[in-house]
Amino acid sequence: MSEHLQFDEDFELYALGTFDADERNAFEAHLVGCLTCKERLAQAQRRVGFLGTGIVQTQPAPHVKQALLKRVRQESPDQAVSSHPSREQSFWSLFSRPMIAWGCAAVIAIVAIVLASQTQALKNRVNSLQAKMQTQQDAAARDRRVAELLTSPQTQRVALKQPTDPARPEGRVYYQPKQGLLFYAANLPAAPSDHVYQLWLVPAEGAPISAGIFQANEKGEASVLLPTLPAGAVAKAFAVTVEPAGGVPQPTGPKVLLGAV
Amino acid sequence: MMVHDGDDATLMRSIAARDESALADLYDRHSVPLYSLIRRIVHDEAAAEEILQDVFLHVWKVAPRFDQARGQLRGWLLVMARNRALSHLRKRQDMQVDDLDVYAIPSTGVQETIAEQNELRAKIHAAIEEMPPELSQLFELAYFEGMTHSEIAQRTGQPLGTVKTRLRSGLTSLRRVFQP
Repeated sequence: MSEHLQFDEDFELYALGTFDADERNAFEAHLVGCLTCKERLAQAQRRVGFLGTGIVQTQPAPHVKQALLKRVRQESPDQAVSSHPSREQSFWSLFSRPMIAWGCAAVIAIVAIVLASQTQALKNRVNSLQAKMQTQQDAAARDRRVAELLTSPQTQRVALKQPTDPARPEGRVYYQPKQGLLFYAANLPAAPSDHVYQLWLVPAEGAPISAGIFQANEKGEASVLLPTLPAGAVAKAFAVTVEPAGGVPQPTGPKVLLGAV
Repeated sequence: MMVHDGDDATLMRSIAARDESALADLYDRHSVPLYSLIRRIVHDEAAAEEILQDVFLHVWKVAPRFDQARGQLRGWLLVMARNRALSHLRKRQDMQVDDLDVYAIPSTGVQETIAEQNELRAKIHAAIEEMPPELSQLFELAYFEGMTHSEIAQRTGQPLGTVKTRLRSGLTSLRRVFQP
């Protein structure tokens, strides 16, 4: 299964654990590289989790909490926030021994020298990481927009088919005038040499608006995510045409896919 | 002991700073639905108590990696509790999807208040009660016994396709509960 799951309920079935091994393995292989499906799965996991609250509620016995906190202390005795005076006194008393005190002082001095020499390198590293973090934040914001578009009940979902052959190829548009557009296509042959595919938003009034150019990959799959479009454009249809490389201001080539809203 | 305002994100920050009292507060906040779910699955009081502790001990361990901005803590806890309970019930190691790296915490969606979560719980309860018996049985086997499509088909004697269709249909109706 290299494609997205088709129905929202499929994500819930996976989260529920009802997929048999072959379905589960295929979906998990797809998940590795698909942020969109990960996001949709996350929403499904949350819903499936909450389904478990619709049962008779039972209070656990008080001793369970005490046992938990005891286990926490055993798990990380040095990390938990709680005061243990006798242990602290024992630790600090080590510094009253001259050899240990001089040893610690020497170690601290060496560490200070090393840290000073590394300050500039660390600053450079911080700048680099900040730039990387900004890039990742931008990517995350984009992923969130994609997920919102896919899951919002306000999103228009339009199936695009080849006018002369409804069987294939096919495409799907998710569109909200205020949030943007997602387009996925499958079974597309490679565009002719020096040509590209071009996606069009056909508005309720006026000339078609270009929503981007694209090429199909070797599997015949293609996508256009969040292209720049006039804000609030109301669509009555979407189309894909074959156009000269670089695209054209208005459609000139044959329609490969077409779908009315 | 620190003072907590009861907010999940605040509690998780305190737990990440190794504050035991914050974990105790988080336990008070979420232990009832988690314990109820675990006990319903394993049908064993002692095992349910052990699993409940395991869930919160895991929270203690991974709290420093929990992304506060993403919220949805109860959803994660419920998934973790269900998977651990099913793992215990079925001795299935592949159900242990409770780590932050595996469980995909939603980056979108609303962070519900406790009152909203309780309202949601009531709606879910009503929706499950209203299920027709044939669907209710499938949901029970899937959710509380962790069965796959094939296992449910074998148990109930229904065709595999029927099981899939009915479960999908049931989830579609349950999904409406989550819509505003």
